[in-house]
Amino acid sequence: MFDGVRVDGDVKALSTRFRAGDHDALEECFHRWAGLVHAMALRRLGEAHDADDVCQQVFVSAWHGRHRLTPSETAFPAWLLAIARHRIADRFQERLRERRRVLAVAESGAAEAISTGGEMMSADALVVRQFVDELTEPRRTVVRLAFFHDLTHEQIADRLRIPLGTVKSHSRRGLLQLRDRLKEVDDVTP
Amino acid sequence: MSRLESHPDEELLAAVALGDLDDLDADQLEHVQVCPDCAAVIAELREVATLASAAGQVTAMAAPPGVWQRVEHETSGHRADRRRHLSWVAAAAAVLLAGGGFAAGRWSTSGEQSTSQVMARARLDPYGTHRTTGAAEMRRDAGRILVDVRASRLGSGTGPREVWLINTDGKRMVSLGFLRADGRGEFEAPAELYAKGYRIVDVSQESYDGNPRHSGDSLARGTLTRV
Repeated sequence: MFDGVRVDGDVKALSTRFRAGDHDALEECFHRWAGLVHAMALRRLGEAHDADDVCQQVFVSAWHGRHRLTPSETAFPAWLLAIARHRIADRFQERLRERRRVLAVAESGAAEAISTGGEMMSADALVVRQFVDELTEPRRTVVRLAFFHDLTHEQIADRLRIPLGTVKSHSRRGLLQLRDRLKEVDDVTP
Repeated sequence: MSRLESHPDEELLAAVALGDLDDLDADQLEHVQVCPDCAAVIAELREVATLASAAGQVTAMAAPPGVWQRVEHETSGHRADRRRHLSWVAAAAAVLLAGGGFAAGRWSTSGEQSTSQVMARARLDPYGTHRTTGAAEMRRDAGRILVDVRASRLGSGTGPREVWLINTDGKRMVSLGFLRADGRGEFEAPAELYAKGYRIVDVSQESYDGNPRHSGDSLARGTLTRV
């Protein structure tokens, strides 16, 4: 509870209900993470209607395959993003097939430009943003001020009127948490 | 215990990654300079810190409008079956009632036979301090307009929840009726309402005071847009 993460069992309880087939849990899950999934898809696919479709497919796939989810504090978003990677890849395959059908030689260059290292960096930034948004206070504010707004720890301690040591602790533990969450996202094999 | 075996706590490595060496003693400072494991952790944390800075540039990631309805429809297979049955029963009942009776609408489904055609949809977003969300769908069915509304997280109010169509002029509104306890309702509306500008769907918390006017306490609101 004082770790800066939302109340223990929050995500775990949600994922337990989800796995058990509670449709309201699907809705909560959607409201919580659809923005992130959509932003990921939009970043890779570049078109809103494609991103909408992928977003829909991800949550429908998640629901139909919910027996594969192991409920835990952190697994849910990582699992969703793994599904999203699959659906995004499927969409790319469809586009390539469409392009070949059209036999537009000029477009073959565009097909190769689909995935670049630059895009993956941005995808991680989206994930980090989501995890920062899910931190509890005061860690979320400390992390935002330190990383988004570049304030020093002294400035943050001053502004929030909390001890410098507490600010440093939130900032450091926040960084460690973000690393762990990113690792989990990257580790989940689709 | 050799210095190389006693890695500093990860929190101190995070401090180093953030450029803050004040809290490390001399041994620890020396350790992190020579230990490859710690160096790897610090390098990784520095990358995460860079990502976190970039994350600050990310604009809000809102759930895409309209997508939830599609997900809900695709995952509510058993509900669609129940609705088919209910709307058959209600349609039969509507025939028996004098005109203006309650008509049970159906969420349009691609798999079902349906004569209705979706005209417009709205996502209902929380209003004020409430957390109510929902959706509305307006369909044309054989000369009538049907409005299906669904809302959840209705809060702890004890009175009924009323559904309104507010005109875009912000001055006029009509009541469509009340939601059921499950937060859903299907309403019939005069055909020309949409064309006349009544497009803002509003769900209000009412009380049993017998006053037909809008209480002023909106739970959620959204604007119907043509599909």
